[in-house]
Amino acid sequence: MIDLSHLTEEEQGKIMTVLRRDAELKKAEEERIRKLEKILHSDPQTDTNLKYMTGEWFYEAKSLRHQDKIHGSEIILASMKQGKAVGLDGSLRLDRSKALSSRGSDLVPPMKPARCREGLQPQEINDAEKENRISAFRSPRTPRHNPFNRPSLSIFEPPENNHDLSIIQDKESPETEPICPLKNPPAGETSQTSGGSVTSEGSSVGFRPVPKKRTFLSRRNQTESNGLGSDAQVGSAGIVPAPRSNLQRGSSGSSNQSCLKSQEEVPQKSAVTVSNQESQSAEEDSLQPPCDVPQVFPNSSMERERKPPSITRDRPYVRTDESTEKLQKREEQDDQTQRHNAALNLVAQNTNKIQDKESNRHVGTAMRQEEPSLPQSTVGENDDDQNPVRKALWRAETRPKNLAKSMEDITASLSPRQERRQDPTPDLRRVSDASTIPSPSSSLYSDPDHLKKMSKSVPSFLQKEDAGGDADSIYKDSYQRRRLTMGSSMTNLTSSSGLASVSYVKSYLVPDKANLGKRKTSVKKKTLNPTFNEILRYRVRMEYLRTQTLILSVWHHDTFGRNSFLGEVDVELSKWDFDHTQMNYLALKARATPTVAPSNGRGEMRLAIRFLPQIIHSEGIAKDGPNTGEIHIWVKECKNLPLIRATIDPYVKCFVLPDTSRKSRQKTRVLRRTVDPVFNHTMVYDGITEADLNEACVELTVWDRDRLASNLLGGLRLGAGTGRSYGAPVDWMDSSPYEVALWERMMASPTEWVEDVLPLRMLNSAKTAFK
Amino acid sequence: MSDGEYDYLIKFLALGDSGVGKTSFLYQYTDGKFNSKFITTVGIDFREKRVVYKSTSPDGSSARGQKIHMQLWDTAGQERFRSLTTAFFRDAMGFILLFDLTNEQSFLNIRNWMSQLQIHAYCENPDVVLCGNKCDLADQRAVSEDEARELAEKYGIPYFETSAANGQNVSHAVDVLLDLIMKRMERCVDKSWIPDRTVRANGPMDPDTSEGADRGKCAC
Repeated sequence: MIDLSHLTEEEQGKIMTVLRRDAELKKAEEERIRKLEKILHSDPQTDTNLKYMTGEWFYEAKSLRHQDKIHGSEIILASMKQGKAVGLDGSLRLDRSKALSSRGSDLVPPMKPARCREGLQPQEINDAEKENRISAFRSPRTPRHNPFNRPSLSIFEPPENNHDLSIIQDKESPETEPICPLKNPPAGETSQTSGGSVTSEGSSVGFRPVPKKRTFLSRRNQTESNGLGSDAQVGSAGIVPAPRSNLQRGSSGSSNQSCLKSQEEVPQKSAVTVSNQESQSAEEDSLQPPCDVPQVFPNSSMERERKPPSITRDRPYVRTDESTEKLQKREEQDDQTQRHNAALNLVAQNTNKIQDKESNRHVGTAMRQEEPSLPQSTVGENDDDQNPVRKALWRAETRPKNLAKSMEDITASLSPRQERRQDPTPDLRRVSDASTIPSPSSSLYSDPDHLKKMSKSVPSFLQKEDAGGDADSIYKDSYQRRRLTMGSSMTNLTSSSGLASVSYVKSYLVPDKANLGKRKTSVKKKTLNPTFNEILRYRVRMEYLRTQTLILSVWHHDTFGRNSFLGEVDVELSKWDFDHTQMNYLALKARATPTVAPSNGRGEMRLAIRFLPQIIHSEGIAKDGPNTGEIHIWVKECKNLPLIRATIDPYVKCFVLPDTSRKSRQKTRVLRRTVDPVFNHTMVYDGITEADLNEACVELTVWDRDRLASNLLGGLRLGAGTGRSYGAPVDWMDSSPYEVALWERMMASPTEWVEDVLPLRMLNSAKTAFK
Repeated sequence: MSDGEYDYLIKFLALGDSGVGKTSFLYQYTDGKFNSKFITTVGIDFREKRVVYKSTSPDGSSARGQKIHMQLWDTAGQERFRSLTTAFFRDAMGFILLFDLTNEQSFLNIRNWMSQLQIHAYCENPDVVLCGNKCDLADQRAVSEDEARELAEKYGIPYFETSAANGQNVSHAVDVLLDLIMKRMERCVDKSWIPDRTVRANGPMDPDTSEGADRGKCAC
C-alpha cells in the first residue's frame, strides 16, 4: 500500500473519479474479451489472435515481474481506503489491511490463470467508497463507547440515529444496522429528553418547529477532569472520538494525563497550533521539550500527513479529516501566523508553568507572555528614546533566543483566558439578574496572590495614567521593549445594574492583527466610582500602535458571570499624544451595536440562540432530570459562502463541544447550488446547565456536500472563548470576540433570543471534519 | 467511447517533469487542441482515443486496419504525486517520456525517469519514445537536438521534437510508439508458432526455451 495521506480530500476525490473512469473502461474491456472468447474459443488458430486482442501478451509479460496482477489503480484505491480506515481507529488497521489484501488477492482470480482480471469494477469502487464511509461511521462508534463510560457521566445513546442511517442508507449498506445497538452504553441512562433522534431535516423544514434535541454530555461531575481534558485535547487535535479509547488503554494516555496535570495551564492553543504549524516545525521542535506528550502528539498527527506511517503513536488520527484541515489551513495563512504567535506565546507559558505551581492567574497587567509573539508581529515603541532602542529591538526580535529568554522570564501572571481577538466589543444590552452560575473568573479576583501581583506593578505608577511611555525598570533592561500601559480610575458609572456596581475594565486593541489580546483590570466592588489604579500592558512597537485603536470598556461583573456592558471609550492611537503622560479623563460612551465583524471571505451566518435555564431546586443544584437547561440554536441563513467548487451544496452541522459524539451532532438539510442558503433550522440541545455554558462551545460548521465528500466552508464557535473547558485547555474554546459577544448576550438574557450575523471562519480543529 | 467495438486496448502512459507538457501533448493528440493555461494534473488522469492501425509488415492477420482503443494515462509530474503515479507504470504497455526543450533540468531528469521506468514498468525494457516538447519556442530552447538524440540513442529509443502547441510530431510520436507495441505484441505472440518450440496446443510454453534475441525484450 502506498501512503497517500498527504493528499487533500479534494485531490483524493479527483483521483477517485479518474479511477472510476478507468474501472468503467476495464469493465467494458472485460465484456469485450468475454465475447471474444466465446466467439473464438474453440479455434486453436485463433488462440494467437486471442492473445493479442485480449492483451494477454502484456499480462503474461507483466506477471513475470510483478508477481501480483493488481493494477496500479487498484493499489491506489486500496491505499486510499486504507488511509481512511487507519486514521479512524488504529485498532482497525490490521483488520483493514487484511481485508484489503485479501481483497487484492481476490482480484487475482482463481480464474483462468492466463487471464488477468481487469481490476476493480465500478461496483467495487463504489463498494470501496462505501466502505470508506462505513468505516468512518463504524469505527468511532465502538471506541467512542469508552470515554463516556463513566458512571458519573450521563451518557445518552439513541437507539437509532437517523443521521447516520440516512447517510448510510444512501450507500445501501446494511452493515451499520447491527452496529447501532452496540452503542447502548452501560451507563444506560437518560435517554430522557432527547426524544430519540428525529431527523432534523425532516422535522424542521422551513420553520422552527419541533427542533431536535440533543443531550449535552455534562462533564461537571466526572472526576478526572484532566482525563477528559486530555480527551478534549486529543479531540481537539483533530480526531473523531475514536482515539479516546486509546487514551483509556494506552500508557500514552496516562502519560498525557500526568503531563497535563503538571501543567494545568497548558493553554488551549498550544497543542493544535503547534500542530498547525507544519511550516514552523523547526520552532516547534525547539519549543517542544517542556512537555512532550500533549504537544508532540497533536503535532505528529499533522505530520503524519506528510510522513509515512512510521511514526508510532498510540493514537492514529483521521487522515482524511486532517487533510481537510490542511486544505483549509492552507487557505488561511494569516490565521496561522496568528496562531503561530499564539503557539510561541503559549508554549512559552507552558514551559514556565512547569516551574510555576500557581494556577489560574488572571492577567490584568504583566505582559511578558506577549514577547514570543512579538518577533512575528510588528512591535511598536511608545517611548521617547526610540531610535537606539529600536535597533536593539530589531536585533532582539530576530534572535531566536528571545524565545528562550522569555520562557525563563515569564512570571506566573499568565492569563488562562488569553485570546486572540480581532475586535473585542461584545454587546450586552442589559444586566441580568437571573440565576446563578459561579463565575470562573471570580476566583481569580479573590486570589490574594494574584491581587498582589497585580498591585506589584502599580506603585510606581500611582497617580499616573498613561498610554505612553513608562519608566518601569523591571521590564526595561530585560527586554528593551516599550509597552503600552494604563492605569485607570473611573468615576460615576451609571448604575444600570440597579445595585452598586461591581465593575472592571477591559481593553482591546483593534484591529488586533498581532493578537495582543484583551486585558482586564481587577473587579471593584460596590461602587459607582471605582478606582482601579492598574496597569494594562501591551508590548507593542510604536508604529504598530499607531495603527490600532484602543477600546476600553467597562463592565459590570455579575457574581454569576453574566457581565454586562456599562460603557466604553475608543481611543484612536494614531491620534494619541504619547508624550502626554498625565492622567486623562475619557468620557465613557454607550455602544449600541458591535462594529461589523471583519470578514474573512468565508461568508457569514445569521443565527439566533437562546438559553433556557433549568429550574433550580431548593438545594441549589439542579439535578440532571427532565428539567435541565437547553440551548436553542436557530440557524437562519448564510451569505456569501465561498465558492470552492463551481456550485456548492451547503449545509450546516452543529456540535456542542466537548461532546463530539454522533448524537450531539445535528445537521440542517443540504441546500442545492447556493451561496446564500436559507436554512431556518433550529437545533435544541438539552442537559445543559449554566455551569456548562462557560465550558462548552457550540460549534457550527458550514459544509459543501460534494458527491464524494463534504468540504468545510467555514464555521464559528459560540462560547466563552476561554481556551479552557472543564479545567483543561482546549483549542476549540477559541471563540472570536463576536462569537463571545453573542454567547454572553445569550447568557445575559435567558429564554430570550439573541441574534447576530457572524462571519464564518476556518476552524482549525478537526472535530469539524467529523463527517 | 468504450463500447467494446475495437480490436485492441492499448495503454500508454505519459511521464516527465512537471510542466513539460504531458497533458497538453495528450490533449493535442486526442482532441487536436491546445490550451496554454497551466493547470497542474492532480495525481493522475487519462484520455482515450480510437485509432486504426495498419501494420506495415505484410502479415495475414493485420493487413486490415485494426481498431485500437487507446487509453492514454497522464501522470502528474509533481513530486508529491510521485508515489501515486509510479503505481501506474506497471499498467502501461508503452511510455511517452517528455521533457521540455526550454528547460534543461527536465532534460537532465530524463535519466531518472528512465530508471524509474525500468524499475516499475511491466518489464525491464518497455517501449518508450522520447519527446522534446515545446519545440515551437525556438528562441527559448535550452536543449540541443543533438544531445537529446544522443541520449535517446543511448537508451535505444526513438526521439521526436514535438510541440503540443502546434501539433508538430505529436501524432507521429504516438503512432511510432503504437507501432512498437504492436510489433512487440506480434513478436510475443508469434513466437509460439515457431515450429521448434513447444506448440501451444500441447500446453504452456516453456519460458526457458525462449529465443535468445528476444529474451530481454519480451517475456512471453
